[in-house]
Amino acid sequence: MNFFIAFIPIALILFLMVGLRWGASRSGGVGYLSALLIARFFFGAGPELLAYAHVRALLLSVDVLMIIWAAFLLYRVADEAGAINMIGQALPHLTADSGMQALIIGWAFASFLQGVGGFGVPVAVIAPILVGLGFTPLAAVVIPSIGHGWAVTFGSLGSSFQALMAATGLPGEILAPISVLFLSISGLLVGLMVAHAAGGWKAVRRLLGPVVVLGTVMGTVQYVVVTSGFWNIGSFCGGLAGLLVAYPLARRVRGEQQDNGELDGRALAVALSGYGVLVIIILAVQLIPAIKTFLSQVVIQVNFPEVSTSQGFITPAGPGRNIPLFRHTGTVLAYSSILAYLIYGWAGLYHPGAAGRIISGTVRRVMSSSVSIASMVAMAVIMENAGMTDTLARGLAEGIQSLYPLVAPWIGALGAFMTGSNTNSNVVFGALQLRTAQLLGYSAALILAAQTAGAALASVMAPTKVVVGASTAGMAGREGDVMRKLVVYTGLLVLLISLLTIIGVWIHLNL
Amino acid sequence: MTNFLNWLSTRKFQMHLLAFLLITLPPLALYFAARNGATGWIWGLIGVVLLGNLLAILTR
Repeated sequence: MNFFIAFIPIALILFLMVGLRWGASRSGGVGYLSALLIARFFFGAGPELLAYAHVRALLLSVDVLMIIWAAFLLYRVADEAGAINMIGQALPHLTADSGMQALIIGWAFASFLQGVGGFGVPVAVIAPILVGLGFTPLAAVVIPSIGHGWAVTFGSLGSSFQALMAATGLPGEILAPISVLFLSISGLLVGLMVAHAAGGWKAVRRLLGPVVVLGTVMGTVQYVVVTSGFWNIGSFCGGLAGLLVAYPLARRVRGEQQDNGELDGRALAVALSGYGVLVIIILAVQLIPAIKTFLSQVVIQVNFPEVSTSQGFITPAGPGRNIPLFRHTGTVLAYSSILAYLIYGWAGLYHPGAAGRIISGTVRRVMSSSVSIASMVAMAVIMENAGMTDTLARGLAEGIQSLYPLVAPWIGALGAFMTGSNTNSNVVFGALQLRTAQLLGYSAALILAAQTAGAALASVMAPTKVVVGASTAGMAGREGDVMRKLVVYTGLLVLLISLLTIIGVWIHLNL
Repeated sequence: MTNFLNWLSTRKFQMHLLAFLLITLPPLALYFAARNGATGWIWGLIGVVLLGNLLAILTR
């Protein structure tokens, strides 16, 4: 009974967004209210627990919102300078095939950006570019959402994988091989789905060759890099390899070339410089120890005491989400925005009053998304602290013991859907999945690979992430349409992980 | 009621901004209220967050 009651806030959000097409800000408010009431009256959450849950939620929200605000700022900086249009006009010179454009930008480039960036960055940056190329706003959000999911665990310079190691106490050498194998295999299916989202089954048949080539290259490079111990640059290297291979591939699949005139190489280079600056700064901050140390000096950190519900569910004492103010991904995006603004300004691309339009445009566009995220994160944290999320996971695991390998990736997916991130799902469910695997006699590495792969692939349809993408493609208020498209693709990907897990268990038990 | 909802929807940005502030500012005080065991303050501040969420729900 508790299982079904705990599921109510999630069910309400899904029903409102997908069924009634409510916007995320309204649905998030309903989710929050239901979670608060259920936590208080059914799960024994007291005032102190709820108060600390709200503070934890604020830290998590700030962590996410800094990226959204800054990502959209970078987009406005580039868009005001005409850079988005310029990039959009350049790609048809390489290939006019929209499916191939989707593979290059929505898959390879999205994977690369996920490798170097973090939460929401690929979709927030790429969706407007695809709109500029002529894709519908819905396709522009769905394509990079699907395209970057396989790169999440070993993206963000390895932060999600780092969280898995921290939550379980197991070393990377044990966790990495199967995790990256699952994700690299799923990368091929991701490519097919990107082609399908771009042009239906016709595009899938036409682009089967490029998908196999790109997917094999990116997956193999990621596998080799991760199993060599460099898990923090796995997706970065995979995505980069994809971009390098994409150029000769695109020359073979050019589509119906129209007379687009001469390509202005200098103008394109200037247009791309805003994103080039982003990549350079991210790599410098993450990989140069002196810069990383210097920028890590100011950290917002709040310590929380142990709290428990009247039913005995305990949230241990510990720090909340750390926010390294000057090294945060959102701050790095802000640095990139400032530098990009200076570059575009120096190139004479702005009309008078550009700065004011950029800032006011950013604030007006992100406000609805900010409300959504604040509500949904508060809902997720209240559910977690009240034991509602744990109840859901245990119910899934205990209800189907012998089928646990089938269910394990769905638990990871649930965590990512609720919290909006692979990292948080690994933190919340990593230890639970490890304990359950040990109790049931399954390989911990296999089950935890299922956890992180399921979480990575499903994180793309977390309401908080969908809000990010929708807001940059001009679809704020239509997040339900995006989720309706994503739920089928995501479900199939997590099902693939279920099958791979079952195959892995069979091999493990029979060898 | 319909007039009120229409009034809210014509001021969507301002209402979302207000809702955002009502949802995110109280937690700053909630931490200290929880540390001091000030139950009355806790429920009052959570009430403000609740109000912010209600405003978000009503703003179409």
